[in-house]
Amino acid sequence: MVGFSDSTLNLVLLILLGSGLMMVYSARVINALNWWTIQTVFVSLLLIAEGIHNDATEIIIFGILLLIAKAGIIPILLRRVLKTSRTVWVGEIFLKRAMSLVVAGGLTLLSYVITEPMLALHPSYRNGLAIAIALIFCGLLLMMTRKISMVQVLGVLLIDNGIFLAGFFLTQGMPLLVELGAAFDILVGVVIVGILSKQMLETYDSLNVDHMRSLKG
Amino acid sequence: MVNKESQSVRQLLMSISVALAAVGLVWGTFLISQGGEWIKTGWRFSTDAGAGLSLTWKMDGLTVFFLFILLLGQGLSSLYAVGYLKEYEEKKKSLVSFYVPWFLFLGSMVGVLLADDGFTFLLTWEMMSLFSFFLVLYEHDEPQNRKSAYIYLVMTHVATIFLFAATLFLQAKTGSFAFQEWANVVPSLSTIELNLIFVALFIGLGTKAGFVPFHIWLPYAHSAAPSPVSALMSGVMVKVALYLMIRLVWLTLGPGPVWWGWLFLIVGAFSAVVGILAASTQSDLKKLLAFSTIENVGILTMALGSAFLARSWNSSWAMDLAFIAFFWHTLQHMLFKTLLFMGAGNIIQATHTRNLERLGGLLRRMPKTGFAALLGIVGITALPPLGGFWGELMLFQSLWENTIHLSDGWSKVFLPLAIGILALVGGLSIATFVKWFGISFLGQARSPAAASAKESDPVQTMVPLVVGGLAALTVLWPAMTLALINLPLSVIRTGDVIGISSSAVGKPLLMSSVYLGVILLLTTVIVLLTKRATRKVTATWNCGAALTPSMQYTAGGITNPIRVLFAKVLGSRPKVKGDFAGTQYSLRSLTYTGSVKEVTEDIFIRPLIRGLLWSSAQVRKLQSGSIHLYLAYLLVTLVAVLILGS
Repeated sequence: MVGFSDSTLNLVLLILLGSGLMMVYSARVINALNWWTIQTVFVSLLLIAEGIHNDATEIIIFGILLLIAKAGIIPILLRRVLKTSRTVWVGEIFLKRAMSLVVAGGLTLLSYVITEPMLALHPSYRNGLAIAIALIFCGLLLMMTRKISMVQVLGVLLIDNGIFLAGFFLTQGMPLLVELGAAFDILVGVVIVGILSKQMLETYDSLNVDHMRSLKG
Repeated sequence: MVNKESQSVRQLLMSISVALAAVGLVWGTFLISQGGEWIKTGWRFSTDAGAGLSLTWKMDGLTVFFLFILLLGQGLSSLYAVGYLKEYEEKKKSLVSFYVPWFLFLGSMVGVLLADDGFTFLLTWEMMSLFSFFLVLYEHDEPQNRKSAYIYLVMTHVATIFLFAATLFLQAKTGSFAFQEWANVVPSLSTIELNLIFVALFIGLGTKAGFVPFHIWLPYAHSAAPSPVSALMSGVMVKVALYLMIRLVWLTLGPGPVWWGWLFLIVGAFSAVVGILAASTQSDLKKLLAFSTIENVGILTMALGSAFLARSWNSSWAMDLAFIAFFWHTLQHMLFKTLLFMGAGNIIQATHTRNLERLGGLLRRMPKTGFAALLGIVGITALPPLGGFWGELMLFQSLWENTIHLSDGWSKVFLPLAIGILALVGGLSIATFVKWFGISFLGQARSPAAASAKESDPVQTMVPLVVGGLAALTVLWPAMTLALINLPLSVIRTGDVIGISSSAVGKPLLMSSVYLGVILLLTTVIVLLTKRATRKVTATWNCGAALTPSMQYTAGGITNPIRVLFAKVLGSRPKVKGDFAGTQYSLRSLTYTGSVKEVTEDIFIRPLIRGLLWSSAQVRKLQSGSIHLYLAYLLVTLVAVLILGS
């Protein structure tokens, strides 16, 4: 389907997985954000390449929109929040960086095992789907093992990329409306998180979610 | 001042309630006097409930008997309420939240009695629970009453879960809600299924009836409700639960194994003893009566147990005796408990306290209430001339009859034991009510409130006397009472139906009027003879000192021997503290603090609640408040679903 050879596709997938793992390994929030931006650029490029290959103008337009919204607006918004909150470190909890990378590797292996039966239909997308699931796992792991709410937002964004990729490889092009909706959804989500972070900063003077324990009834 | 308008509303609504009851009674009497097969086989009718469903109803002799009890209770309590509710009007408390649940409560009880299928039964049953809950909650200004109402609500709902289980199980087995269908399928059920259904019904209905250990709500709810409501709940509602025991267990589930009878007998005996022991140590006017209701439900359950045993052993003689005892005592207990709750209501309105330690000397100030209460006490303690005695006598005979008919050795040990327990309960109930009457009506006033008490409204003194008169009438004209009891008996008994009054079982009862007549005659003669003699009334001699209220028995003191004797069972913890003012001989003051607790509550209910709270706490640990943990649940779930799915 995609307009380039298998080796090129594998290279792109390697970059996607690698950036995901690097997000897990990042010590500074800003690094994780940068890795995520790189990943999103490549996801968008994948979509645009698909559009060019199929001569589908609307997919190309959508890819460009995705590039602008996700790789452009969201990083700017999040950077601003980071600057106002003066947050630097990701705040490891439960697992240190190295250990989380090991767990993330394990989860990647797990995702290969899990997707085995699903790939009986399309052996050539084996890597793509497995890596998509692996990204979802990495996102959840990231959310679980970091204290700063901004990292959790990045986790959600990582999961979103994973879901997008899974959809891309499984369905060969979801209805455009659904993809648009999903992209818009995450944009709105980030705006809400920006407001929430502001509230958290005002209330707790930090983005550490451990403070929210006091909200428990 | 009482608002004219609300006064007329009260009189109008309560008159409607009384009139409805009266019309029902007259119409019912007319229908029955016509006779007919329907008394035995039932007369069915149904209401369309929409969606192709209909609520089915059935009226037969058994229903008619309990409807009679209900309508009589309704009429008397409503009439009493005309006077009783005046106080709330004076306090400017809205009565709307009394009237609405009052009528709906009565209506739903009629519905429960008439229901002929599981769905209708559960619907009306839940309505009955809910509206009685609202009535208990009527005086919700006091936190104590709110607590009582909530205990009642929780217990009644837990019980209903069991009823739902039994009903839905039978529905799944038969594909129908109709009782008749259930009865047809029962023979094909396995023993385990049958026993499980029985246990579910026993717990579900037993909670409402107040079997120990499911009784804990009863003393709270019955004493927190306004007096007319207490009278209805104690007199009628617990009987509705017993009615369903007969309808669902006896008539639908059939004979069943022998242990059902034993269970009824043992739980009944246990309830009677626990109920009366708790009553004897109470110093709350209405709680004491509520505990006595538990005792009487226990006696009724023993009668049911005796009937079940007699059926298993094919002894129709003992079964008839047990059922006559059951229905006779049901009627009598309704009358006497209604009367006593009305008496308690009068005392509470006159003195504004329920604490016996603060009453005393009321007989001189409230003579009519006192006389009526005395009638009620003679009845409820089963003293000879009035009806309570005859019911318990029949029960004794039935138990004895069962003992003779026995082949199995265990029963020869246990049945006489049950007879002994019944005798013990009778004795304790006399002690209890001597205390209830003696402390509140006799002696000197123990508080200014009691000293300034005034006789109640004429309606409120007239109705208890009417109830007492009715109770005397049931004994004076036993043929009528037996004709009424014959109605349910003709449904329950299979085979030939002869009027009880002409059968050998009923003959001794016909003598009851003679005994009453003789005693009345003797009393009259004695009164007339002693009137001639010269009497001289002087002050009680007290070694020259003046009499003070503190010289008399206290409510705690009069039944202290019982408390000492049954210390283990009552969980009694007496503590006596003397202040010797530094010397060894002169005593300045002596303080006695004693407390009893409900041991059954400690044994059955508290561990249950503790277990429930513990498991809830375990589940609550999942909700730690940590976002990371919540996300971990998400990850684990996702991985698990993906692994399981592939």
